[in-house]
Amino acid sequence: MLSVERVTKCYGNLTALEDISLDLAQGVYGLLAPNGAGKSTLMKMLATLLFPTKGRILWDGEEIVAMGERYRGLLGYLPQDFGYYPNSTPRQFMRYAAALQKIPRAETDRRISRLLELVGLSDAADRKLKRLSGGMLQRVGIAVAMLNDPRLLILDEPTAGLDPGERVRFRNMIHSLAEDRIVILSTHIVSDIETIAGRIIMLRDHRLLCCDTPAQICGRFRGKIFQLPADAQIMPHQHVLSEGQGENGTVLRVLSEMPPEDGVAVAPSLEDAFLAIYASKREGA
Amino acid sequence: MRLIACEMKKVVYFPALWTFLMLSLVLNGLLILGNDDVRNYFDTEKDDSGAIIDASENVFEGYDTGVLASFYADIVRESPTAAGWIRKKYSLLQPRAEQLAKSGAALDHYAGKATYESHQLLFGTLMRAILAEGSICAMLVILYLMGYEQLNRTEGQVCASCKGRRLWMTKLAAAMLSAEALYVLLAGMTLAFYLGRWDYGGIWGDSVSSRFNYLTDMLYKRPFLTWHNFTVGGYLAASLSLGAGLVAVFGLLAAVCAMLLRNVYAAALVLGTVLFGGIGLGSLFSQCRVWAAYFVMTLQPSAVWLDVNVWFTESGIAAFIPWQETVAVVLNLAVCGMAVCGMFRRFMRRDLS
Ligand SMILES: Nc1ncnc2c1ncn2[C@@H]1O[C@H](COP(=O)(O)OP(=O)(O)OP(=O)(O)O)[C@@H](O)[C@H]1O
Ligand SMILES: [Mg+2]
Repeated sequence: MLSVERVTKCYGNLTALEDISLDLAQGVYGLLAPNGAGKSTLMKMLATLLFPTKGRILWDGEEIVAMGERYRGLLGYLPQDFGYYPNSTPRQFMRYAAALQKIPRAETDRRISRLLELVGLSDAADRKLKRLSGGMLQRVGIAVAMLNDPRLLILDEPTAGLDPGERVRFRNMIHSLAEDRIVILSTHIVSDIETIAGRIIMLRDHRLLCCDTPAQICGRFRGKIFQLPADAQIMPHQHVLSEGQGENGTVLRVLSEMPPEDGVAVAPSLEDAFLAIYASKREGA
Repeated sequence: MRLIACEMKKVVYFPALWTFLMLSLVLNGLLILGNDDVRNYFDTEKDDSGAIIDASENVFEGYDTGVLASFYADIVRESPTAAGWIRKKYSLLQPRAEQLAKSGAALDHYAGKATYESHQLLFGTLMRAILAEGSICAMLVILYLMGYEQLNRTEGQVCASCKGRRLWMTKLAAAMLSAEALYVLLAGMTLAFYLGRWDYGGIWGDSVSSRFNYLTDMLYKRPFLTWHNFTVGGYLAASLSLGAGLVAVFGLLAAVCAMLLRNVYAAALVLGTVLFGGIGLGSLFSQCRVWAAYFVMTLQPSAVWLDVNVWFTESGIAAFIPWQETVAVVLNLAVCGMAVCGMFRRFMRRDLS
């Protein structure tokens, strides 16, 4: 059980996060927010790479920084910019990571092979990391983060660079993992978390906006999302969320309190909700 | 243990280090070959009539260190404090002169006419080169290992692992071990080549304070007055051991810079500035005749390195206390060790940017 209690993080004069409080139990948490909202900052604090300016973070009631090694031992972390030793192979690199995680030597190789298989890299296990593609590297990163079978898995944009097949595989993997652990992942790709995240954490204006199930978030916009033809007149109280290809040419998805003329009500998707939530801000800017 | 091995493996795969090591060995080889002419009169044959050497050859008999004291006290006369230190040092040297006289150290043959040149070649030129190369290796290894994760952008993953930020202590240990191993390698290979060409067979047991050996400082020639009765072998062993300490000092200094600045290039720049600036400051103080400040500067690691040819002797103007080089190395180890500990403590509670 992880609790974030009134955490504020400042970089000099810039307040990246303000007064964040969260309680996380088992399950997948999707951190969904625009660029620069402070997702990585929050995750780095959970990984003890950054220290809160104010507030504290507790694991089972104990401050994580004070727990030190005991906390990090149950933590798996994939940073946004996963770094690696270019001249090592995935297997060598994971052996080093295993030593850092204090995994018993006897168990190391077995675990590495199993994880490489899990992320579909068994064939590339002995190729140099610098010769792997971006998506393959990302999968090495995921495998490294899971090496110590963490109770708390923090993944900063884990699906960046993955192809659709791998993305589905990743989703299934996370889904099965999350039964008895906490998984927090950030992404910009709504579809990545729509189906697997039990709860979505959203940040706005450096503050916590919500931590709800996807259904609750979408529910707020039920009856407010409409599809319009591209040539429709847009009223001031309507916000165009996105443009897309319909059956009869281009269509617009619009947020509106009242049903517009020749608008077709559609079920709000998480993407609609995301765009609607951050729409006002973008227009204000 | 496992992590120390992992870190040392990174050192092994550091190409610039091996290039530097090769160049160093070539340079040392050239230094040895370039001074080969001395070997022609390098004479280790003991004179059989040596038993009946007249008393005048025992240069320490009746030697008065007060002469040296007055000479140096006059040089540093602008600073009464410095002059006081000098007088104190040479008054402590008087009993040493008497002990050396009694032991008959001056009667030892050493290398005969070639003693001064060969001694300076081995304990001046070569030791200075070995120490410089060993120290540069130590600093390179430290900066490389400590900046490795940052260069590869793996710092985040490493610091969030079970071992966490404490890996940097392992890195320090691994780097120090590697640096000392490299120093041993450099010294071993250089000395092996030197001793292969020069036959020291019969003279290891001779005293370095032989009447054929001497020191010159500020154009003043005096016998080789050491703070302890050293044989040639003992003197070499002592120099090499203290050298290992000096290499560690340079390594720790690099560690302090690396942890303070968290950027390899900035750390290297600052380190260079501190080392060369320190030497410059020392000579500036002596030019300006601020002798007390100058003497404090002689404690810095680069000054200790420069004066390797007078280690364990009264050292003339290069020292203001007995055993200065030894004291300086111990002091530097303590100061740098504490600074490194402070840096670690800071690093443990600092944001990783
Ligand atoms: N080391 C730093 N020093 C100063 N400001 C920083 C630092 N790191 C992040 N910031 C600022 O803090 C804010 C939040 O950054 P953060 O990286 O957490 O955003 P993010 O939500 O992860 O963005 P993205 O989706 O692009 O990854 C940004 O405005 C960023 O400019
Ligand atoms: Mg980010």
